[in-house]
Parts: sequence; C-alpha cells; structure tokens
Amino acid sequence: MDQILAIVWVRTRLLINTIRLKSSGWERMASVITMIAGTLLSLGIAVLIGAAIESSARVDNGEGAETLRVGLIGCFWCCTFFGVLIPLLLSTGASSIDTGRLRNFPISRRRLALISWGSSFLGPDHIFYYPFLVAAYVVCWIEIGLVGPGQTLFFLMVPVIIVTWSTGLVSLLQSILRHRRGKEIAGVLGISMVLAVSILPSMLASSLKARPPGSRAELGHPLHPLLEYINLTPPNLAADGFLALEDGNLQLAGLKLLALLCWLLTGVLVGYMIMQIGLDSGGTGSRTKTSGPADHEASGRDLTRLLPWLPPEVVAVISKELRYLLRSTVGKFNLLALPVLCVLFGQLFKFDQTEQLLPGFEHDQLVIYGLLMYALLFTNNFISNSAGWEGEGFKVYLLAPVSYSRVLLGKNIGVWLYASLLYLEVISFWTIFHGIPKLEVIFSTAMLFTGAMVIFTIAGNFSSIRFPIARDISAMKSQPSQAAILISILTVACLSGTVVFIVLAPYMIGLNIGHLIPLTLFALLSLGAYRISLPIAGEFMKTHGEQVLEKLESGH
Amino acid sequence: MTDQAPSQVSSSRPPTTWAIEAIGLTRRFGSSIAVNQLDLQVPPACFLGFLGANGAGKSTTIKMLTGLLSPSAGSAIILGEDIGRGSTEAKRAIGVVPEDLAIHDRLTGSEYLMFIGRMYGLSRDTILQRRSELLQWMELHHDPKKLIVDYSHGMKKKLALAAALIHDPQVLFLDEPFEGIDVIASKLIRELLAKLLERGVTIFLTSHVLEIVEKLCTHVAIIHQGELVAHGSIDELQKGISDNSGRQRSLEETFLELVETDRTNLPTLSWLS
Repeated sequence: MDQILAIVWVRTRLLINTIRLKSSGWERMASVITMIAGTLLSLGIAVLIGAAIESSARVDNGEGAETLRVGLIGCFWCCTFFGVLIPLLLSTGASSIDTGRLRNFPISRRRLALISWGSSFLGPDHIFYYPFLVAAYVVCWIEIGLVGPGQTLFFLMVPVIIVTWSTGLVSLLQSILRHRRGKEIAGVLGISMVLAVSILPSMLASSLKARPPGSRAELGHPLHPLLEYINLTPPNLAADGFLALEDGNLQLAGLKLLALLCWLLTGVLVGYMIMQIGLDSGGTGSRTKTSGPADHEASGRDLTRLLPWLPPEVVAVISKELRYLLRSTVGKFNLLALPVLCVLFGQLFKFDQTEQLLPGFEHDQLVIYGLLMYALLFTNNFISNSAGWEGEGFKVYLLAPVSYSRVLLGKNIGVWLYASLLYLEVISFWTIFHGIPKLEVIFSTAMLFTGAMVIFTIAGNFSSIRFPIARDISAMKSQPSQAAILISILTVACLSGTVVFIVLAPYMIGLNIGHLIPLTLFALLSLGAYRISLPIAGEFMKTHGEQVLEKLESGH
Repeated sequence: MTDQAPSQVSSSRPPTTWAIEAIGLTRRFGSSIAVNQLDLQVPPACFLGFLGANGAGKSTTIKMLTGLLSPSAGSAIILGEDIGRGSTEAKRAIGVVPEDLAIHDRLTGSEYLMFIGRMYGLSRDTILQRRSELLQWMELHHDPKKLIVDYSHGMKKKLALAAALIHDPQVLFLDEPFEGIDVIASKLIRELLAKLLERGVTIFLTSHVLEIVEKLCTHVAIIHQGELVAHGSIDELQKGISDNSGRQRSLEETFLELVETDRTNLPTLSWLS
C-alpha cells in the first residue's frame, strides 16, 4: 500500500512540478489558470450530466427508461473518452511516470503491474472524470430510489475497466515512444487522426447539404450494424446491466456483468503482456541496422553547387535546416497531408461555386489560398520557434565565426525552400485531381504565399529568439511557446487586414487593376521589410544568444 | 606556486601572446558569484587540466573562455583577441567540445561534419578530405546513413571531437571529454590529444578523472568556489604541497587538500556506524 501511495504522490508531484518548470510568471499563471479551469470544467460537466439525466428521466412519455439509458450511456462514454484520452496525452509529457523505470526497485513484476494499476485510480489523470459518475449516481438515487449494491457494482465497473485499458494503452504508447521511429510514426498518425476528426464533421455537413432533404434519413441505415456492436462496449453494457437490475431481469443483468468481466480480464491480460514486453525490451535506445563501410565522399552532397551565389556558411545552414525539416514529424506530415487535403478540400467546396467571396477572385483560387495558408500555419511552427528545434546544436552558431544575420538568413531560406516545396505540391496535386489552375491563379497565389511567408518570418525571427522553447523534432507536440503563438495570431490578424486592404483598396477608389499588381507589390514590400529587419534580428540574436542557450539547455 | 598573481601556467619565459588569457574574469548570476576575479595565462602548446569540484565554476569559466557566456567583468582573450567581444578571429582559432556535446543529432555524422566545416569557412574539398580521415580515425565510418541520435554516447563524444578538430584549431577546449566513454574510446582520444600537443595545439581540459589529468596534462589549475586556488605544472603543484615526511603527494591528494571542506562537524550516519 505504501508503494501505491508513493507512486500516487509521485504522479501528482510531477504534474504540479510542470507548473514550477514554466520559466516566466505569465506561463506559470497560465498553467494555474488551466488547472483551475480544468477542475471547474470537470464539475461543470458533472452538473450538466446530472441535469440532463434528471430532466430526461422526468419526461413522462412512457420512454423514461430509454431516456435514462441514453443519459447513463452518455455519462459513461464521457468518462471513457476522458479516462483514455487524458492519460494518453499526459503520457508524453513531464507529468507521466514510466512503469518500466520502477523495476530498479525491489518489486516483483506482478506487484509492479498491480501498483501501476492501483495507483492509476488515484492519479490526477483519472480523478478528473469521477465527478461525472458521482453526479449520475446521485441523480439515479433521486429518481429511482435506493440504488442497490448490484447496481452500484455496474457503476464501479466503468472506472475499473477504463483504468485497466488506459494503463495498458499508456504502457503501449510509452514503449512505442522509446523508439525514435515509433515516435515519428505515432506523431504522424496522431496528427492525422486530429485532422480527420476536425475535417469529418464539415465533410458530413457538406454532404448532407448537397443531398435532397428526403434522402438524408438514408444515411442512418449503414450505421445500424455498427450501433449493435456499440452495445457490446463497456459503457453500454454497464448502463444496460444497471437498467436490467432495475427491471428485475437478473438473467440479462448477469450476462451484462459477465461481458463486463470479460472486458476487464482481457484488459488485465493485455496490459500485463504489454508491460512484460516493455520491461523485457530493456527500454531506451533504438536499434538500427548497421551496414558495411561506405564511401563518405559519395554522401557529401550539399547545396553549394546549387546556390553558388550565397556564402558557404549560409548554404551550410540552409542544408542543415532543410534536412531537419524533412526529417521532422511535422515536416513529413505536411508533405503527406497536403495531397490528401487537396482532394478533400476540392470535393468539399465543389457544391457552392455560385458567387465570388472577394471581387475578382476565382472560387478555386480561394480554396488554393486556404490550402496554402493551412500549410503556412504548419510551417509557422518552424519559423516562430526556429531556435527551439536546434536543441543543444544552437551552441554551434554561437561558437562559429559567422555573423548571426547570416545564420538567420540561412535558417529562413531553408524554411522558404521547404515552403516552396509545399506550394509546388499543392499546385501539382490540384492539377492532377481538379485540373490545371489558371496562370493568373498560380501567379497570385505565389505572390500572396511569398508575402505572407516573409511577414511570418520577420515576426518569427524575433519571437524565436525572445521566446524559444525546446522541442524534439520527432515529437508530436510541436507548437511554440504561448507568447510566440500570441505573436503569430497577431501577425495573422495584421496580415489578413493588410492583404484585404491591398486587394480591395483599388476597387474602392474605382481603380480596376485586378489583384495581381497589389499582391506583387505586397510580396515585394514584404521582402524589402525583411531586408531591413534581418540585421536588426541578427543584432537581437547577438544580445539574446546567451538567454536562448540557457532556455534550451534547461529544456523548457 | 599557489596563490600567485597573475597566474601564469608556464615553466620558462612567458610568450609574447598567450594562447589563453583570463584577466579578472568574473561572472555573477543574480547575487551569487560563479567565477570571481579569475586571472590565468596559458602559453601555446600547453596541456592544461582545469580541475574543480562540482559547482566550482569550471563550466562557467570554459563558457566565458569560448565566448558562450559574456563575463560580468574582466576579459577572456584567445591568441590576443578578445573572444568576449565576439571576435571572429578568436572563434576561428578555437575548437570546443562542450559537456553536452552540442550536436545536431538529426544529421548523420558525415552531414554534421560537412555543416561544421562550412560554418568555419573551409572549402568543400578540404572538408571532404578531413571528414573522411576523421571518421576513419574515430571509427565512425561504418554506417554513413545512421543519424547521430542513434549513436552511442561514446560515438557522439568522438564525433563532437572530430567536429572540434575539422577546422584545425590552435586552441582546443574539452569539457569532461572522458565522461561516460569506454576504455577503447578513451585510449583513442588520449592518443589524438597527444598528437595535437606535439603539433603545438594548446589544450584546455576539464575532467573529474584526476588520473587522466595526471597522465596527460603538463599543467594544472584548480578552481574552488569560483576562485583560482592553485596553478602550475603538475610537479610544481605536488612539490608545493608535500607532507611532513617530504613525500610527494599524488594529484588527488593535492586536489583534496586544496578543495575539500572541513568535515569534522558533520553528523555521523547512525545506522551505518
């Protein structure tokens, strides 16, 4: 028991210490606010769940039991969602504890599994959803009278199964994340899932919008078999078992309990096996195949011959930057995601091509703009935290006999080349799937993309020196510091205003010159502003280099 | 030869230009002083072991001498150039292996050396030739496609040393180069350092392993609580602190004599006594 409590304490301590690790007062305050908001949110959801179940149970239309079932299922699914998702998200951060590392202590493997499982019940990543269950339980007590021990058992089975499966999944994720390649694959899959989830509702809405009203109901039919399977999941089983006992149907309740026990036993076995594999694999360090001796002369490709007009040290930084971008999880993801997005966005916006949103702009053109801005936002992670991606390697720039403005120029050109690759990808895939865009569209999007990228770079150079945050290029988590995000949002706001103004101003004064000239002007002015800002950013890096190094060495 | 100012680590006449010169070097972090008024002069072709307990100020000193940290007061001068003012010539003259190695670990060893060579302004042909030789010497040539992140700690150390040497520096700073590496890698690095010394390279080394310092270094400087407490050749240092019988002490005994705190008033560990 002492060991379980010790691990509970460590878990809680690690979570609290993540706040102390925040370097600035603003970031600490933001973390405290987030924690308080999380607690309030948890209680708020609990109250909402309680109120929803209570009001649905009161409906006197002969379907009281069914509405109570829906309420309970909703509550249990809500718990499952939070109980599985939150530990998975936290398991990649500083607040997680790797069970494998506890094997140095005098604890047997079975006991270790038990401790890990037992301590999870009181861990901060699970107590979050307990108020939901308490609220539902209290409402049931009020509505149907005394809740018996059998019915309470169904309520208790929910967190037990959630914790069991969540512990197994966290162990699995941790063993995957120990390996660099696994981390990268998990990163790409994770971001793809988030993207899919964020795109699906709008795609579904668009499909529904496109169908005649009478045919919408047909969409439900293919889901029916799926709904039958959903009844075999723990949240549905627990709710059905609870209500079967309420109806006095002991046989059905017994079956539901048996099914829940199967879930539990399977979870225990799977979790234990994953933990065993994790412990036997020895943890850290990835295995790579070793090939025979090779000619190093052949692997000496660099961009010097392609960019002969640039100083060699600038080309060296460009080469390094490009390699880093193409080897990072987010960098790979961008290259993979854009073709998919090209197809999806093209289909999504096919339905209403009736009117022009901006004067003089083709509909396709706006979709391509949207795609490019999407790519730009992903690339912004590299721009607004460019020092953070360097890690310890940033020291090289302080040691080398190279001016800081040249270092920044090299880093910026590296990102621009990568962004150009994304631009070419968008245009190429658009051409393949939706036909060749007009030359005017290609030119205007190129000008807007160039201008926007350069403006982001100007802001990013300063924010990445002033607010660097250490990032692992193979990690899922890739966003810059909160301050840098704020600067990026402000940049986007200013940028959007400027672009709209530049494009619309000629129309407003009755000058019908199209948008090509204003956008070309915008790109040129941006480049001019960059030219002026570069030495200032170099000087800024010179004065803040030590602080950047200090922040990167401290790892946050 | 202890407590002498200025601290010249030389046995014969002083050279016209010191390889490394610290004049009143001081670094404060808030109210605490990490390095206080450090005066040190190291002649060319000298192998200096810079010793100190944990937190004594070794890494802060090495950071100031390599331009990674600006001093709160005083100057850090390399071959007559003030590196604290960001002198490009001084930076070009030094090679550094920091304690954390400072490697871009998502490059391959070859790519990293090409990058470093370019950063120091070497021509492509020179880099290719030196890179090939360095990787062979360091036995890192077997898997050119392997990323540095997949290297062992010893391999990373050897690569960091190769990166510090590719531009043929006149002064080499090594922060704990023997920490966490096996006997074979250690031997390889020692052989390389001996060759460099023969070539006239000045080496500034910090290490906790006093046996290595005793074997390799010609001179030693000891820092304690941010202040230089001893300096000179190893012989001079050991003779300076000899016991009553006149027996020459080992470097470890000398070091402990200078930096160990008085432990007489510490409580005993009751369950172990």
